Amino acid sequence: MKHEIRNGPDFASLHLTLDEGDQVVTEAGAMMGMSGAISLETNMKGGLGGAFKRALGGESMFLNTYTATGSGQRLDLAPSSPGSVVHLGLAGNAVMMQSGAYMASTTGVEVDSKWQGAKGFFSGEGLFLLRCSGDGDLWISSYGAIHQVDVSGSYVVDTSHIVGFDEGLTYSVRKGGGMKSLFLSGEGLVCEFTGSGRLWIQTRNAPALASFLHPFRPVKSKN
Amino acid sequence: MHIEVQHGPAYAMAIAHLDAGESLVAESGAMVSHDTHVSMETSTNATGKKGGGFMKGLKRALAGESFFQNRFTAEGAAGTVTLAPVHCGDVVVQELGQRTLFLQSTAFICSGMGVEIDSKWGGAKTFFGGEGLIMLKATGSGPIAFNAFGGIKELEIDGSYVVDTGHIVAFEEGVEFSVNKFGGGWKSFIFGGEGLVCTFSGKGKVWIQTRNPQAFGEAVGGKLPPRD
Amino acid sequence: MQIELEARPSYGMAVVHLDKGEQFVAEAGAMVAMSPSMSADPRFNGTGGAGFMGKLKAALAGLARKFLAGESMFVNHFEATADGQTVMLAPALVGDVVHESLGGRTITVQASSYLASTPDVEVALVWGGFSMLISGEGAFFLKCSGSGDLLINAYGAIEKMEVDGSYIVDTGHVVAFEGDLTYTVRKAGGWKSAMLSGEGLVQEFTGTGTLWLQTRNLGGLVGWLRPLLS
Repeated sequence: MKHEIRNGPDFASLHLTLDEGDQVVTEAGAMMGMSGAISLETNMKGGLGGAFKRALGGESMFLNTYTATGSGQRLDLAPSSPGSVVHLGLAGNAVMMQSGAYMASTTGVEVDSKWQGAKGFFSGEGLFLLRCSGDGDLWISSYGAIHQVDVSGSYVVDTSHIVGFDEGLTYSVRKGGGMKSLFLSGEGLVCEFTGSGRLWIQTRNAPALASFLHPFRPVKSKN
Repeated sequence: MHIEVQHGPAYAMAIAHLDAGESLVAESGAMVSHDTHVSMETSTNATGKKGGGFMKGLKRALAGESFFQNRFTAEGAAGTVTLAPVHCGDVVVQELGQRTLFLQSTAFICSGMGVEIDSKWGGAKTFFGGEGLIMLKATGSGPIAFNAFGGIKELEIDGSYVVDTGHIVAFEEGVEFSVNKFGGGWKSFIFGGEGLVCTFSGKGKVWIQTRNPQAFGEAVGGKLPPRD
Repeated sequence: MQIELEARPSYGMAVVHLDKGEQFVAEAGAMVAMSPSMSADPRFNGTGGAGFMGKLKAALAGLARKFLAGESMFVNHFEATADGQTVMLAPALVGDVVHESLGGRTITVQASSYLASTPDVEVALVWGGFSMLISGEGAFFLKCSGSGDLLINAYGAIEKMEVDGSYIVDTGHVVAFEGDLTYTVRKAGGWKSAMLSGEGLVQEFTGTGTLWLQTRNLGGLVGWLRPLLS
């Protein structure tokens, strides 16, 4: 299988050329175009339990599996948010990512939602962490460009800008700059990462876009 | 202090490198990340100049900027802060020497402590329609970073040029501006889809953005589920 | 006349240089900046010719475009009053802008992807078929033909590809097509996939020709934003 990311970092798209029997799993709605002979199957991945866990993770319950029926077939994918796509090769290691950042993977990658419990990672806005592990290719998407930070020691990030990080990093979520700042500073929650590992941050944040668009929404008619 | 821009022109982010003890003033909500030893403090008047406080914060809020500002200080060692605006687009850094710059409200991201930010009323005619042209005035010395929605184009005005108000980012003092209806007549104003335009005249720089937040908001917002 | 494209590929803007008497037609709202003495005349969006019947046809075509295709009812006719005047044009959505010199070709453009053209380009509203209407992406296309210049915009980056045989596309990603390409609308996969895959109905293009795709779609953006809205 050949893979190429084009049009990044602005409106990145992923272009795959598949050999017979190759399979790619994608989030719902990611297909832009494909050769007619590719077969598509939609499932609740991991059975009902897995789908339920993933729904809590903010991802759609349904994942699409595309299978090539011959060599040289083409599958072109694009994420829903404006921004980048990055390829990560997994070889027995694991990465944690913000739900919504998962775009596609090969079948050797296991996608699992990690329940945060009371530790609400992302200001309780329906965003949780997904854990991807195993062997294979993983593609993640971001809102904005992806800026990689090699953490060595400690680093603080606004949680709505987190895309993903290596599992080895320890993290602790707190209010940005003290109690006063939670309400006044506009930063909300921040996460302090410690240890050694890669951290991917995105240069735009989705809640800010949602707030900007809010006044432009049609108003519900009152009866 | 020095501010660099990365990931431009589409999703530009400003990275401010502070020397030990140096401070930066930033738009509330713009912070993406920072070194752990960089402290953050919130107040209505982060530059600490006299005569600020509540009223200054209020003027800023009315100008579309946040009521509060954040001050980041590198405590004990050099440190970095990364900042990003709401909109997709580019970020520009300018050094204010003896110059005064006027910025469209919401374009301000951050500046050094030597820069004074004040909201200047553009006059009654700029509050027409949904595109109140509210300008912030930046004076003093030091770096200032501002953003655009879309790409930023720098125009050298020498004579006069017309710009749709939704596309104005900033301009230097010395350039005169006057806001009018598009096409000069009511027919164009209503049907031309442009609303208000601004005629710049004189000599100086004008920064424009290649996308209009109002038009984008309407195009996307109209397709979102209704709100209360 | 000269057309330059700037701020590509993400926030594409066209800078059009016109000499005295030269004209350019752009959808209403597209003007970013222009020379002060450039004349701008709003007209109904529809080529109908002169005279009363022509104006009536133009008005009806404009109305059809507004309510059926979501395009503005009006366009602005820019005309330079002296040599060396400029007008800068940009669309509302973020993404690329491309310039095609038609030279006798016909390019069929998604209604929301039309930005501007020279007055000698004939722009006709085309009904895409009921299945396109059901697909939810808009059932109208604009067939642009003639020998002038056409500016097309997209939401996202533009991927230009040559189809020879067949190719399936998610309908929200189609910007324009030309050549002898025809399409049918069908389900993506079986019935289960059609409902749950997020793809819904897709367009299968067959034949030989050029296809312009955009790497984002508005439906996807809306879906992505929905959980964040109050």
